[in-house]
Amino acid sequence: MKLRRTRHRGLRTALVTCTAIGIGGATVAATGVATAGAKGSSKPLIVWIDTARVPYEKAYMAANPHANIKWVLYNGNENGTGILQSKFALWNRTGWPSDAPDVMFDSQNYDAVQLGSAPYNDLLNLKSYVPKSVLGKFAGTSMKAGCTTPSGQVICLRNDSAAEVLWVNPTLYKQFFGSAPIPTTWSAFLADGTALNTAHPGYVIGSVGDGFSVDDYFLWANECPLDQVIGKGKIEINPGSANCTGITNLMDSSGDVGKSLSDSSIFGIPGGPQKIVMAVGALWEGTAVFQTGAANGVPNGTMVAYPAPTATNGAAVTGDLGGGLWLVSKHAPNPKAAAALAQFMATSPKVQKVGVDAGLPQYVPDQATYLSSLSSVFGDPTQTEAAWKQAAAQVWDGWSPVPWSTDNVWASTDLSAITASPPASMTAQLVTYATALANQARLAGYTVESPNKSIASGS
Amino acid sequence: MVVSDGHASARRRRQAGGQRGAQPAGTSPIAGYFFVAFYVVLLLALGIAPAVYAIALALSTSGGLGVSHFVNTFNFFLFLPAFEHIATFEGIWLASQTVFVVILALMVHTLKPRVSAAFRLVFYLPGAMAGSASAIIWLFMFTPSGSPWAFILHAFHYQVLSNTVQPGNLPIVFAIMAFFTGAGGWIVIMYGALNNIPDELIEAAEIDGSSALQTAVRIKLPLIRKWIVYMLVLSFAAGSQLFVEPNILGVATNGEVPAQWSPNQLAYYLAFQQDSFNNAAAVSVDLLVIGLLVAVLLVWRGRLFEVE
Repeated sequence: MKLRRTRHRGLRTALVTCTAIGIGGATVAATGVATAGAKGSSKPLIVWIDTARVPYEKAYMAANPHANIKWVLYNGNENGTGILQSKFALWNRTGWPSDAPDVMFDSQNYDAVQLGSAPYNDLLNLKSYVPKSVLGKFAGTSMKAGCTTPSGQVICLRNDSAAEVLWVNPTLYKQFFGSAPIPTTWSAFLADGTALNTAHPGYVIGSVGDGFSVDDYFLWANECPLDQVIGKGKIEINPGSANCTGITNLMDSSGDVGKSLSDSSIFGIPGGPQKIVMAVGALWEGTAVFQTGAANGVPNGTMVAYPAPTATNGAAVTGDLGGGLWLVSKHAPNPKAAAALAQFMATSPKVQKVGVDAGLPQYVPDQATYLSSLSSVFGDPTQTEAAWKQAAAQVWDGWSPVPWSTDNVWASTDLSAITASPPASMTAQLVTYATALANQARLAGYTVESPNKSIASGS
Repeated sequence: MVVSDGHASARRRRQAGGQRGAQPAGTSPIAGYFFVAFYVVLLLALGIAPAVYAIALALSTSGGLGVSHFVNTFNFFLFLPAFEHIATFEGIWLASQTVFVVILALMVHTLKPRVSAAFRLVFYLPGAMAGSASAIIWLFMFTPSGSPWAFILHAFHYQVLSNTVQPGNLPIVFAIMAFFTGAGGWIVIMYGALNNIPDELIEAAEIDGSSALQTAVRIKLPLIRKWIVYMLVLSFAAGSQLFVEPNILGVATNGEVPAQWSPNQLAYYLAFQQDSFNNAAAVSVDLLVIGLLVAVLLVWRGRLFEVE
């Protein structure tokens, strides 16, 4: 008995000692690595970019070969994956690590206001780092709409414009509509779709099959007040407004929903982008949706951009679908360098003119250089460039960036009803949509104003 | 487990009696302590400590200890729908899994050994895919334009993916996904449980004139009752924490499956998209309490830990 106990005690002691050494060793090793890093050259700027911005990185490093920058690829916070939100929330609790990003590219244009306001408050106010003259040269109201908090802080720089134009395939258009003029109103546009429903089924004038289709292509472009921030923490959500019902009534009566306004995503139209006669869409869709120049896509020199239809209330505005942001972290060890880098990325022609896919720069002085590189990609370059510049300056600023995704709310609340056969009434869906939006607004701490009492109070 | 008279059972009883007294020669208790110690350390570090932290977070309000986070989250418009979703999902899934697993296990048990082994392998294979892989495969199966089962989807008038994953269908969609991944493993376990039934018992029943069905229902089923309860306890716990499948479907459908469909997703959303850890902790503690209550109920009523 005695012998056994001693053996066990010996073994137990050995176990404990081994564990202690193991833990101790790991800690020493970790500290050692960290110290070695600090002893080296000054800390590099850490920049998070997505795959589409890799040409920017190459352009920057070509211009500044000795720059002390660490480029990290991530998914650009796309599609509601909330990478930045979750990282920031974690780091706000555990402390910001040394490898946290200083500058980030964010593909979601509603993120900045959330990340720059309570409870996050993690973005640098660029007002004191970027000259006022530079801030004033971004197109239209894009800076006020997406990058300025209600308290007046400037928490991002706009990268590219995703204003909406009317993309037209002139070959198909001439084939189906002859020499008729390109539609300039929503009713003419939808009427063309009605003609296609029966005469040429399978050919489309757009899509309602994505979460962003209805709110970004149709509602935003008609100044529909479902996402209009009217004061600090106050939002107007009015589905009964004529600006909303005007366009939805037109959509319902045209009979296009599910037919020439396809049920499928705009990126997956059955038969390919060659079936799209025309479509209201963002600037970047010229290459992304139509696959211009690719094997399965529309040939180079085909697509032409025209101004999007005038709103049903007569206003010369257009909607927006995307447009990335450059964010600077408030916790950057060298805020001056970080802000300078963000400013360079957003405004330098060396960076902004790189490649068609990068999109029209939101920074107006860079637009001319960029546009001149497009002449081989789209048809009628003069018309296309003019339509782009006009659209970039005409985005309606009443669809405010908020901490929830209006696209995702439509997708989870109304999309299945609209894509069912037969589709539900678009006008009836407005109220369901507005109710869901109001609930999200209250969850985020906003007060909802609406002539519709149940939407305003949530009961 | 039932121990009937016979040589094998007598030997078992002697061994069971022996282990409670002196150690049989050649075994050392230190090995047992060693393995249990590893488990206890991990249980404390990764199970008990985070749970205590969550309970502390959920109860700490700006005015000291209080239940305001529980009240607030209960009043969120996303809270009750999430629990309704998961309750519907659990009801459909647990009922269908229990029925099908038991029936299939009983049937597989009556087959010749090699045929039985082949079938068990076939049933088990879908379980080889982890949650995210199976979600991707099912995404493909549920998309009418790409699915090999398109004719079934078209019969329901589903033309695009957003038809298949409409809100009303989601509990059934996830129940199907969970069933195919989980059922195979449980069939194998039930088969093992059925193999524990002494052959003498089944032979005695057959001599007494019992048909295959009567043997299955009157003899085998009661003897694997504890295993069925065990399956229910584990499946309920796993199902209540559903996260991967709705999350992947949500990202793939660009938000059509809402990011707060299940309570676990809601807790994640509150913590990491709203930076509101106390509220997230409250929802997590709700889930913990529900899981514990159901487990206690099943263990007690199912007499899981009784030795007859």
